[in-house]
Parts: sequence; C-alpha cells; structure tokens
Amino acid sequence: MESAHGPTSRAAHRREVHFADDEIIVSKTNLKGIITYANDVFLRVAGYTEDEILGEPHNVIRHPDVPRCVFKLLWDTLKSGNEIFAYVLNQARNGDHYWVFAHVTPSFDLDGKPTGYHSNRRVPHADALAAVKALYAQLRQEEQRHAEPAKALDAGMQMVLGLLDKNSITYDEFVFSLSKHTQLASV
Amino acid sequence: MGAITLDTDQASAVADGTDARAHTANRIADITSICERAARGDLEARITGMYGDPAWEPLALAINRMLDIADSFVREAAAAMEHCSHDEFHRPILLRGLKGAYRQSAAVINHAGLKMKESSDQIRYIAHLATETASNVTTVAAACEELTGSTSEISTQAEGSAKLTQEAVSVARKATEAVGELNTAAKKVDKIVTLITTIAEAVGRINDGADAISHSASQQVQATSEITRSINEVSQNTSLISKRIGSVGGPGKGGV
Repeated sequence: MESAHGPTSRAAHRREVHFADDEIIVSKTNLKGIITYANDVFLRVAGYTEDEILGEPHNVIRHPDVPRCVFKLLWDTLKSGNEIFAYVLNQARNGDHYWVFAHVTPSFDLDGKPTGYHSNRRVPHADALAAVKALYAQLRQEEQRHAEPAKALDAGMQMVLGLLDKNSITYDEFVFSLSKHTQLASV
Repeated sequence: MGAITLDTDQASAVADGTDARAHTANRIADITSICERAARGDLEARITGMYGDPAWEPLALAINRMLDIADSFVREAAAAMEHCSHDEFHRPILLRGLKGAYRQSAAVINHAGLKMKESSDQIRYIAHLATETASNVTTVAAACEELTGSTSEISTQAEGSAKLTQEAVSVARKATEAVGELNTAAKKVDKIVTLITTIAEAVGRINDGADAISHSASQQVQATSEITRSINEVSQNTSLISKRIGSVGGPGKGGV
C-alpha cells in the first residue's frame, strides 16, 4: 500500500491500484468543478498531496479510457439538481488506474442554494465491473468512429440512450441492476 | 467554500516559536467552528491544511472522517427515501463503505424500503384488479343494456304478434259466422227445393185431375174439389216459398 497522504511514485508504470471495501474516497468541488476538499483515501489512492490537488479541476483524475458520454451524462444529471451513480475508471497521478462506483450529488447551503458537488467513491462489485468494462469498450469504439469530438460524444450518448430504450429502463435502474449487491432485495 | 485552511502566518508563528499558544488557540477556534457548523446541519465544512503537522493532523483527519461518513449517510438516506416516495425501489442505500451504526441504520432503512416496495406492489395489484373488475362491470352493463334492448324488441314483436293473432281470430270468427250463415241458407234452400218439389207434384196431380174430368162427370165434383184443394195447397206453398226466399238473405249480407 502506498503512503497515506504524501506524494506517490511518479514512475510511469501502469497498474491497477485498490482501496479497501470499507473505505470511501471523498472529494468536494465548487460549481465549476474545482476541488475544494479531498479526503485521505483520495490522496493516498490518486497519489496527490492536499496542496497539489486543492484548486485543481476534478478531471485531473479522469482516465482517457472512460467514454466521454459517461461524463456528459454525469454533468448533465448534476446540473439538473439530481444525484448520479456511475462506474468510473480514475487515473492516479503516476498513471496508475483504479475503478470506482461513484455517487455524485449536488451540495446545497442551508437556504437550498447549490454550492458545489460532492463525490463518494466506493470499491465496485466485481459482477458489475465485468459488464461495465464490456459496455465502455463498445462506447469507446463508437466514439472513436467520429473524428469530430461533438459527433463522437453524440454518437456515444445515442448508444447509451438506445441501450436504455431497448431495455425500457432508466439510467438509474440500469446502473443499479449491474450488480446484485446494489439491488434493494440483496443489500 | 466549506474547508478551512490554516494560513501561513500561523505556520510561521509555530516555526518561530514565538506565539505557540496563539497558534494553538487559532486552530482550536477553527476546529470548533467546523464542529459547530456540523452541529447546525452544515456538513460541507472540512478541515484542510493540517497535513504534515503531527500535532494536528490526526485530529483533523478524525474530524474529517467523521464528517465524511455523516455526510455520505445523509445524502444516501435522503436520496434512497426520495426514490421510495416516488414508487421507485431500485435505489437502496449502499452498505459498502458504511460502518457500525451507519451500516445498521442503512440496513434498517433498506428493509423498510423493501417493505414499501411490497406494499406498493400489492397496491398496484389491487388497482389492477379494480380496473379489471370495473372493465368487467362495464362489459356486463353493456350486455345488460343490449339484453334490455333485445327484450324490448321481443316485447314489441310479441305485441305485434298478439295483434295479428287477434286479427286472425277476428277473421276466423267472421269466417265461422259466414259459414254458419251459409249453412243456414243452404238448409233454407233445401227446404225451398222440397217445397218446389211438392208444388210440382201438386201440379202433376192437377193435371191428373183435369184428365179425370174428361173421363168421368161423376167424378167432376170430386175432381173439382181435389183441384181446389190442390190449388189452395199450391197457393199456400207458394206463399211459404216466397217467405222462405225472403228470409234466406245469403252470405252476401254478413259475408266474410
């Protein structure tokens, strides 16, 4: 296990890093997506110091293998004032990667005014991860068919919406259906 | 921004060792402020800027972890219950990452959500049955209405049949009366024919009497008397025939 809080190795190795099942990676951003808080698990797994990560945009940990349409779906949902769950591959500072089951919610002040976003990230269940990896590979392939970013993003979104429409379920229902451990009857 | 970061002046003061007590007082004040905000329900505040300070880092981490788990639980529980309130039961509180009382409470809430789902399913089933029953009642009502229409039509047709029957009976009665009248007329005609035959016989006898006059003068008076009697008889029969003929009438009067 890497150092709890200090900077991790910046070697260019690419490996999957893990965190414990009973840990939660926590971060907060302002409305522009700038990080205002990262807990100790975040710092350890992503390999940043607090000084390094505060003030950075949250996409600093974005991994290029995640289809762009996933982030569009995430931000569109957040901006509409709703929570969203998503399986996301994050990239550590040294290029390592780690899968998370992210729960992102808007934050509000005591008057109900939105102040930023809060992200809790858990260890994803293995049964869901297999399906997610296959789906994301298809989405990436679809997006890569288009040279123009906007068209690539739209193509990915259309594929996601088509999948949901084909199965007559919402995105929320879909994401919770991926693992038996995230279904009400099983938890 | 929720996080409170200790400023560099405080760090410098510590380094200089000139105002350690003030530095400590400031940090305590900052931490107290964050805890008070949390007590008021503001779970956004976090302590930052204490990493690397062995005296304060453990305390800052402990408080942040406490806030992180409380914040996480509140967001999870609220969202899960909100989904339940919309009859959406696909979103439980995720137990992974929760510990102790938080995990136990999450399990209790999830169990309650499951019960709500069962109740909701039952309500949907009952509503489905009610809708189905209403549909059946509507169908039966339509059938009854149709039956009523058919019955009314049958009644109308029966009424028409009754009229036709009454008319048929009336016609039959009139036909019977006509046949009776014809029968009576036929009997009268028969009697007339009998009388005519009698008259013919009487005329024959008159002829015979006339022949007898020429043969026997002695028998003249007797013959004359016979003739007179026959003539009277013919006269009477003729009169009777006239009356009978007058009374026959025939079927034409009260005919069918």
